[in-house]
Amino acid sequence: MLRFVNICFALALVALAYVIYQVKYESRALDEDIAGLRKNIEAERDAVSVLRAEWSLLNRPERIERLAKKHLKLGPARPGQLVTLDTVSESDFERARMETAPQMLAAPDAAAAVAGPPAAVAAAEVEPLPPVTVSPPGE
Amino acid sequence: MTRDPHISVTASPAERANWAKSRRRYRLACLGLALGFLLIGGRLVSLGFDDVAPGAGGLHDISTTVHRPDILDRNGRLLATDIKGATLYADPARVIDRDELVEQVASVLPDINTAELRQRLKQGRRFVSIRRELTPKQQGEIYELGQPGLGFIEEYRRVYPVGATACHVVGHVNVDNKGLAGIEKFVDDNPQLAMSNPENAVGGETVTISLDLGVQHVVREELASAMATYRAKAAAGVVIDVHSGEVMAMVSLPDYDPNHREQALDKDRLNRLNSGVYEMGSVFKVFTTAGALDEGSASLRSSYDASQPLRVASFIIDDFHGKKRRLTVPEIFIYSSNIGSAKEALDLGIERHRGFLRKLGLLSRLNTEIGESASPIVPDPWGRLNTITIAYGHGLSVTPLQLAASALPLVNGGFGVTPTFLPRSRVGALRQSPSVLKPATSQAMLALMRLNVLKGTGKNADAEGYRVGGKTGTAEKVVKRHYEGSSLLTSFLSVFPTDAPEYLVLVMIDEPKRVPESNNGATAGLNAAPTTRKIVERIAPILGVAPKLPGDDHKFDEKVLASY
Repeated sequence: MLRFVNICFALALVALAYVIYQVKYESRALDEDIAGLRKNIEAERDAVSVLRAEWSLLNRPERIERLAKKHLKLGPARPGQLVTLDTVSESDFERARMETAPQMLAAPDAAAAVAGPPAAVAAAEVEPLPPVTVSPPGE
Repeated sequence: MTRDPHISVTASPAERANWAKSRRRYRLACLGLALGFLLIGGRLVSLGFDDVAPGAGGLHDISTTVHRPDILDRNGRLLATDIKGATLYADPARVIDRDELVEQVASVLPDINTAELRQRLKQGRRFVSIRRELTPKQQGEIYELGQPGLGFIEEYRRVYPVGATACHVVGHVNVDNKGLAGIEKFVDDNPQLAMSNPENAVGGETVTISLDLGVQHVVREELASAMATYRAKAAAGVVIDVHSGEVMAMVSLPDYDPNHREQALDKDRLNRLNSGVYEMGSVFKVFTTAGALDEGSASLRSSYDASQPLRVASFIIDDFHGKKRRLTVPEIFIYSSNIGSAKEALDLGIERHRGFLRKLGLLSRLNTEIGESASPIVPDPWGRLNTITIAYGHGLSVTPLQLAASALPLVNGGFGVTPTFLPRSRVGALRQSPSVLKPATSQAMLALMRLNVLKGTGKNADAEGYRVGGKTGTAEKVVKRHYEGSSLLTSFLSVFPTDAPEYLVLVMIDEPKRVPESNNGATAGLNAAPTTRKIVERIAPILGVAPKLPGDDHKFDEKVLASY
């Protein structure tokens, strides 16, 4: 009886030792993983800060302005080009829609034949609209 | 008691006693061992529960330089950041062939001083620093050399992606990443500023300043173009929010690239707005007029005789745009009459005039985050002649930033707001600021400044739609202890929009020449004023100031629509 218990204990000891070794090796591998990941995070963080610096370098207003001057036909906004939504009325939108719509429709087919005149005609037709009053914000 | 099986029945009593003794010893030994194992086991368990220090996985921060917070502008655009760079060093104890090593290093870094390096290697210390801030490419090439005596240390390096654009505000650092000037220095002195910003993906600390990079760029570009057009020696400009005191842009040309900090040592590149003191000339008349109106010694209807030059001791004070008649206070302002201003100041009284300037902060140093301004040069004793000359801006030297700061109460309803380079709300600033002027004085000054742009010396500053108001100043510089008519310092102090003031703009041009672009003149109205107009036209849309055009407020430009 005692012998059997002893053998059981010995076997349990071996099994426990095996489990402990297993867990230990696993944890060591995980530790290595953690260290590796930390290193990667650090490297990525450095890379991100380099990229942010580069992004900001490429986005500096000086460069954007130089490129805009070279490739775009845009200039600084003049006061006459700035409109707030309050000062735009429904009929303005209507007029704008009518001015741009014919161009859009005519553009794909028979561009040479009709594209030019209809837009001009539409604009001319719309021109004598009565002066619009801005509706008060409450309505 | 059971019988011990090992002890034979044939054993003598002496033997039996012996056995009993050894059994006691055996038990004692077992107890001792068990205790020992328990102790060790307990200690092992307690070690197992101990927290392991994070980062113990073999990672070591080998940087020798400190990590600095990023600096962002008010819209979160990056102005300064840290990136990691490698420093190359040699360990002479491990160098096999000195000459070969030096030659190979020189093949990668051609500008290295080979003789000096050889000498330092010979001295035989364990650490010989060869080059800081290597590019990744150089580092790779050196690594390829395969020299055992060479090594790298990773260090933080400060970079300024926008270069010179914001140099005088942001400042720069030394080789060890310590702040030397501007906000960089301020951050070092006030580490609590570096707030952890959740929006920053990198998780680093950031400091946000009041500057707007877009506005800053426009001011810098327009000043650079003015400097070239009028062939000036230098130019400077500042834009301040009149209610919050936040500095939106501050430029002093010529400036330097903080990525090449050795340029900052050049005296010509110093920040003229904060480190230089100047006799600002006629822009000072805004303070004279405001003083007279606020103290009640004159009203907008008062008039002074400006038909005769003013004689004081051996000096004759005359007008540049002379009208030779009696002038009202608004006329004195818009024709920039020296005689009239001098008489206004005399009417105000020497003591009250000086007290008023002191109240606005023109007689003491101005303290901001980028460091204390240069000390103003105040006459002592301050007599009748001093009051007369200071009335039109001579005889008292102040920094331009100080002048702009002192002009804030004149245009914001009378609040003594101090300028700041850190973000601040308008409500918070007004709550902290004492009221130094009557609101009516501020209203009158705005009207006078607008009138000056519409009818007076500042006509060229009228940016279409933005209701600019301002005052010109043309000062003769003191060259060899005499006022020199050919070297001028022109300036334009302005505010826009005058019906609901938002921003103050001060432009200063140092020694502009008479060029065809300014009708062969060199006064402020011909160079500083048009430069202000160009700046306002471009920054107003960025700062969200709506234009107001005369006539119909209902204008719908189809060109705007076409661009969508």
